[in-house]
Amino acid sequence: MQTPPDSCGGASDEALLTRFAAGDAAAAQALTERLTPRVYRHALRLLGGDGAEAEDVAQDAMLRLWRAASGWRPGEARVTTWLYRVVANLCFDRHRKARMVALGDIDEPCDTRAGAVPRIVARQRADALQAALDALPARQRQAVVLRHIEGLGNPEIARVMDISVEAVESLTARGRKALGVALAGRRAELGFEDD
Amino acid sequence: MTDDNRENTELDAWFDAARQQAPAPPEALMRRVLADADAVQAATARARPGLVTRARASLARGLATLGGTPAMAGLATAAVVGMWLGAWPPAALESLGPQLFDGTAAPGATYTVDLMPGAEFTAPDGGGEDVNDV
Repeated sequence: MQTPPDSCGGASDEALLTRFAAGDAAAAQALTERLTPRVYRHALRLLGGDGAEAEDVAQDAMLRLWRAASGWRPGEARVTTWLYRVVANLCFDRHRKARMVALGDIDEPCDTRAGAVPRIVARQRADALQAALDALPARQRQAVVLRHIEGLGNPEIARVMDISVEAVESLTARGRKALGVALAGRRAELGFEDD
Repeated sequence: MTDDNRENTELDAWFDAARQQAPAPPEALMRRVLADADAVQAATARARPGLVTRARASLARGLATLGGTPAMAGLATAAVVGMWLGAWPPAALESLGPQLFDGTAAPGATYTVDLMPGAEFTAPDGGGEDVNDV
């Protein structure tokens, strides 16, 4: 998983959280820059692309992190593992699928830069994948997103989802199979025949 | 390439596309998250003096239970005297310790401490009797 550079360099999330609890404003800035994009994107994927809902979930999850900072016990859990779990719980609590819109329905500015066509194709593929992900059962979707998009290992996913590693493997295998079936009909349309 | 391998490769391409299309969080969200962080830090800072006050009150209650300041002064004095005697014991105590532990002290002498070794009391009638002989 790629972590964008921030003002606190290589400090771990846990170390920054300790500094945050001690009142360090730079740590707050660094954690916000480092974790909010990840939390937002994860919420977006679990919520089927509903940007407004994803913003609410991301802000709520980060607020819970700030409040938990003073009681954080170092070495007990990774900050990201804890956050993924909070985001998933918040998303599952929101049974408001009626408001959900597909990622492809969000207006995007026209891309006129060089190499725009491959980017458009990549976007169409991402949208198609999101639509297929949305059709999966919630736990399968969560496991597949954590494994194949967020790039977490199975043991960490097991901790996030509070299940065994074997259960994670089963969920991701079934999720991949269902995605394969759902996306098979769009291979030619989205250029996989040419790859 | 088997069908399974081709399917896996294609799925990985779908996932690659999803990773490339990682939408950035809106600036307004970043500002709100940072504002929440500031608010929590400010609230924590305000709560800290209260914690110190509660700790002091708890300490004062403990002192009162032990007898207040006079009792603590007595305890402190006893502690200092104890340390003083331990570090610089009088000659009588120094000689008494080994006698007590190696059994060389004469019977009946083990409980006698000569606070002024070398000094001799002389009875007013001139008997010249050493008080230690009593």
